[in-house]
Amino acid sequence: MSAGEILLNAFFYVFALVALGGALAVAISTNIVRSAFALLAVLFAAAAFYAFMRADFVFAAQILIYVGGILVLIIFAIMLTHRITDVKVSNDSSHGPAAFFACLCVLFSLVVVIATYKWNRGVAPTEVEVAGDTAAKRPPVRLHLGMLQGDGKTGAVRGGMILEGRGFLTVETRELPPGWTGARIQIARAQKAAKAGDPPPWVAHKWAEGASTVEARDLPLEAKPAGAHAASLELTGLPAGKYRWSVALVPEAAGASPSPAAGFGASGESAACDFTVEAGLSRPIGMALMGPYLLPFEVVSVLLLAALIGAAFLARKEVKP
Amino acid sequence: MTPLAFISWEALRNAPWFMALAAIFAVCFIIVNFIAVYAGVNTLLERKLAAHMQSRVGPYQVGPHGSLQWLADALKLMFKEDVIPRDTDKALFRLAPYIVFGGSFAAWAALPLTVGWSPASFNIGILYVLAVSAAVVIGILMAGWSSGSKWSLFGAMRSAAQIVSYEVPIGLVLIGMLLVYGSLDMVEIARAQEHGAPFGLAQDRTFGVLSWGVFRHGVFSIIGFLIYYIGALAETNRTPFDIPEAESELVAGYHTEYSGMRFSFFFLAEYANMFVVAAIATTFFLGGCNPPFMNHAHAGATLTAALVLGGFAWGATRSWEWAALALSAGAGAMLMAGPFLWPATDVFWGGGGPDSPAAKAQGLLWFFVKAFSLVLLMMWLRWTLPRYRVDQLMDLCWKKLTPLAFLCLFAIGVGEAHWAGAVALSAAGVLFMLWLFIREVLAPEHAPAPLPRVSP
Repeated sequence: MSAGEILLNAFFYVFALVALGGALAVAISTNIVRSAFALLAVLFAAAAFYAFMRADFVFAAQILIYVGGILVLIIFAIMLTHRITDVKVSNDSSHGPAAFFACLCVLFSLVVVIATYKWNRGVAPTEVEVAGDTAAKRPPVRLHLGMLQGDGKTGAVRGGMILEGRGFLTVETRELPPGWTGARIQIARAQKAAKAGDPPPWVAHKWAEGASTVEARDLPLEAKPAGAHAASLELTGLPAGKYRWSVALVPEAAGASPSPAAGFGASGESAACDFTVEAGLSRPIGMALMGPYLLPFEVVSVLLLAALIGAAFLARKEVKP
Repeated sequence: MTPLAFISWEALRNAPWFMALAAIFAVCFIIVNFIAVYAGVNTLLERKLAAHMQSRVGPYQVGPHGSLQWLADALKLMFKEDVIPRDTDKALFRLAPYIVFGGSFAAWAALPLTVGWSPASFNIGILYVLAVSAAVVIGILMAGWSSGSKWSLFGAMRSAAQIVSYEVPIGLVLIGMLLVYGSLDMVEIARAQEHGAPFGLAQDRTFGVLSWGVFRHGVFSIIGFLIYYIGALAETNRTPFDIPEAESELVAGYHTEYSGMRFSFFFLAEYANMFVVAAIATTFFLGGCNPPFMNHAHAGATLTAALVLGGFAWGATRSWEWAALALSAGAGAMLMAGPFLWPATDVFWGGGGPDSPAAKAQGLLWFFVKAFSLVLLMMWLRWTLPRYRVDQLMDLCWKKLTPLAFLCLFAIGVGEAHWAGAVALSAAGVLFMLWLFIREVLAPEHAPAPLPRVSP
């Protein structure tokens, strides 16, 4: 663990302490106004956790909605309620065993979710075939192309998209016949089309590796158990945009040119191995909410309508007959 | 993207931890001290401006023409006794000023102060600024409640109600402009105003002033700018919307019970907030850090036009008001005419590309000139307009600004779909306003409606 990561972890624990302390204050304070203000610390710390998880849009939405909207509403309700601070019976500690049981249930379901969720879920690997060479006695090879997000260990991959230009491209094959040594990976980036409606032209993209920039990268296919071979390329600092990556296999024989995978290449037609680099979560969330999830999103807002009607019903004037 | 890229997670992870800490600390240190000095100078400026508008001289004892008065004020506030009244909720009373100041200070991190640079690079820029501003509302409510004073509580409730209400038209206008720019990143928003012309025509050329957001959709973006500016006045509790601290009704509103350093934190927050809302207006509507000139000749021509017209007006009338009016008219006309006289494909940075130090310095200069002009306008309005009543304030927000903001959002959406829609809607808007002007101002048929009655 580098010193920078230690620093980030220290920040994380500070926010965790703030969240827990605030939650404790909300629960045990006998002054309801202080409880409401302690909620501020909890909500801000929770927003900070979203920032730690690179969910920048959710971070801002959390503060905007919960602090700017809901908390202000709560405080308004408390302040406008007559003599509410005189009530000292809030938070009595009866029903201990029942509360303990409820907490146990929540803990259990959390553990189950954390243990069973597939955290390091890649995009479904795309299969491509590299043509063989009968003269050189190299049989064809099937390759599985995949992609991993972030540091390659944690964080889920959201279908063909990497955040902040940091991710892994992976090449796997179940078996590697003799005659091949490694994989050559090239990346093309979509440029702005000259006319609206035209397909974007693809231009080979050079990316930074250490101090130099490279256009293609030959990776040795490392042996895995059961005859499988795999290679992965880490990418950092790609600017946001649409990308397409292509793979070619490098033959063992000196001087032979690499053999591209079927249907690929910088001008290839296959869209299966396109990926986008997002600068943040705002665009994917917007696309999801206004696209496939439009109907569920709108249906959920009926809940708010119900709450509104309920509030209007509660706030109405009693009409005496 | 930014020279201080240490603030990005990626660089923070890779850099040595002390470098990362030092970078964060340096940025915070510079901004905090800048806000302190800026707010101090602003208090003096506001007092001087008020004095001259009321035919007084204002502070005159400390330094030449009282120019060091703000230092004396700061020293006084620092050494003053920190009084905490008996009936306060001590912990919350102590905490509140820092939350208010923290909210307005945090927003500075995302402001695009110069070309392609903001103190921290955010891709959710404007959303972040609006989000952290929520802390200001909470802090004000906290101060008002914990003071244990009726005046404070009234002030806090009024302030929170006002800020929450005016966030609606402001948010709608900003959403409309976001349709134009297609990014939440404020650096990107400023960059999007380097090119383009009103109604989305000619995307690949620079049109100087005409490329700015305020002209992007004709009358509707201009109305949007006005709605934003009115809303910003209310959000910062400035006159004519200063009912939360109305001196004649509430002593001083939510900070009535504060003294010394804690009081000055409220002051710093107020001036920092004024700059933040002015900076958002600059970024969204006035082209951010982009210069208004097309080239050297244009700059010279603008200066000449302003001086010649202003000089003529001064010579003819011997009145400063007419001279200032003619000067502004000359400069404005030349700024608008420039893009047609000197066509250009790229922003003029006085030699050097957008990454050169000269361009960075110019960007900083233009950003502060624009934002500070809007702040000065706020001060001017403060000593010009009387205060609104609570019901008038809410009436203006919910019955006038919000529907207008919806109209702007609709019109900008249509205009973004096709430029012809923008032109047609703008023409219809101009005709409607002309008709309204003729009917209500030139030929009023009936007397204005009586003011609504409120029971005290």
